[in-house]
Amino acid sequence: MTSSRINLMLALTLAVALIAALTLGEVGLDGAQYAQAFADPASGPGLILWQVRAPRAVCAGVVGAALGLSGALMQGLLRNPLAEPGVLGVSATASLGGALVLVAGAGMVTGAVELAAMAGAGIGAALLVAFAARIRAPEALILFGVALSSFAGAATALIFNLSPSPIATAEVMAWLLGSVQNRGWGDVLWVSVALVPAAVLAGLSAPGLKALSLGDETARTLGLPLDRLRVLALIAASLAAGAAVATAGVIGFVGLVAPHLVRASVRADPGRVLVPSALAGGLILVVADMMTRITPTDQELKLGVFTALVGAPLFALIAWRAARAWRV
Amino acid sequence: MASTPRLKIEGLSVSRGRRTVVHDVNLSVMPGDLVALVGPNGAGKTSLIQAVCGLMKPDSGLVQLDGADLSTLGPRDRARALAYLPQDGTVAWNLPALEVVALGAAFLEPDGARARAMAALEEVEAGALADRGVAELSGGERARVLLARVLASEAGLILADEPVAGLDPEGQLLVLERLKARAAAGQTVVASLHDLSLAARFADRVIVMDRGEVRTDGPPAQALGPTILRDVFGLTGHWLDGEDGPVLTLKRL
Repeated sequence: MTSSRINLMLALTLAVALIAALTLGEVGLDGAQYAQAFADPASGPGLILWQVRAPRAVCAGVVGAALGLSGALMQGLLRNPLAEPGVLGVSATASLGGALVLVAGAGMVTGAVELAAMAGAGIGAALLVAFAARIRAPEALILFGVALSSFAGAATALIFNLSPSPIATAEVMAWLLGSVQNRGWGDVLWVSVALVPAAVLAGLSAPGLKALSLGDETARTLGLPLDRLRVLALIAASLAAGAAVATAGVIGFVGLVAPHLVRASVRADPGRVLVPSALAGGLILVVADMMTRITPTDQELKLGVFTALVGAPLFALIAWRAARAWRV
Repeated sequence: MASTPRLKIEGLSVSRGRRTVVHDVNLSVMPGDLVALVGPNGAGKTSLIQAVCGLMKPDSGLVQLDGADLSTLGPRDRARALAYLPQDGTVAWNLPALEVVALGAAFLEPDGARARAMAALEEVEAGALADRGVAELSGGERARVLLARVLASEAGLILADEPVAGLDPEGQLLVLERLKARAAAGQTVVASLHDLSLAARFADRVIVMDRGEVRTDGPPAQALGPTILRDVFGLTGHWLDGEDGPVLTLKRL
């Protein structure tokens, strides 16, 4: 299958999932009410459809796309199929950035949490790339990511620990669990504002990711401005991961699973895997968000909790396969 | 000599950490030469090759490609001038062999790169592997694909670090025959080799390195003389007349 066909197929499936997500909600709407919602967006059903369900579903889609893109970029940059913002601590450093701003009371300043989360993601990703350039063993990178994740987690916990305001703490906690509940069009706009430049930079860095398949040293001799491409990919991955965390908190494993699902369809090319990974990430998160809503629990399941419950076993499976590949 | 050397190295010293691994190396290699770089483990062969590729920053000295200082060449010009085949042949993803080979000519348009890649795969008798994923290939097949990658670059200088390590005898001969053919066609090949017999058989010139220094440099029979074999390698050798030229047989002291 060509990559444009897989992209088209994924985009169509994503569209179907988004439409399906519009039909789900606490209030059941009948045919007449849907008609009313379309005819008059300011009516009750119109508000439910266009101001509650639609932004939530689209938000899940763009956050998922950001995570899928970020995961694919990090996997290409680090030449590691286990790389993804959640596993390697980039979500944790992004959370730390966001938490610092929230606890400092600057949460209401437009864009402050988002920018702090992106900066946190950037620092985390830069540390990973610096580590990967020196240590070749792919397993060592995962261990470094675990350390980074634990450290950023501990620093975030320290903020809770020292925070004088239990309300601020609860606010940050709720955000960190990961959710797109009650997200509006403004949130969608924020992720999209970061996702568009991230996608452009990612596209520009694609030839560099392919060259990096041969290893750092060989890639340097292939005639590409590798350092520049690597920086572009790094910025793109950080923008996407930071925007996702700022908007929806920590949602793990989407960045791991999305590239994994589509890699074979683009013959493993780390450049061509970017677009289908973003689309698959969006699809996964829209479907996962629907699952959290139809799961009958008293408190609605948090999206981040749900993806971790499903994603962690998948991570173990992919790690098992990758470890066997590294041994040969 | 009238023509410009393809590769000229003057007073090159390179360190890894605090240790000097290449010390004051001078040499020049002409177009059409196949030079074998030999020496025990840790002699500095890989470091020398990497310094010529621009992958290690020299402490001092000069590297020139076709008369141009290496440090003045941009990445694209450098890729056209030299191709590097590293010892470690891992490819991170299961890319099709043809795509891996085409990376050797990544400075061309994709179609041009693929055309060269296909020709290079056929040159190493691996045309049938073009669509196979590299992770599914045997070690020998993958070595051919990676060799094809440097051949596809058509660079003036090919630097190959242990290109026959881990290959079966047929694979070793194939790799060296192809490199020899490219040298005969006017490219320059510098290959580090552990097998002195293969070096003696295929190289026009052998450079013996030991502890970061060039111990001797000359035609195989001269460079791999009794003193060097004894002092550098701890071996004794006999030169025999073989069907394809002189053959070196070796024994431990």
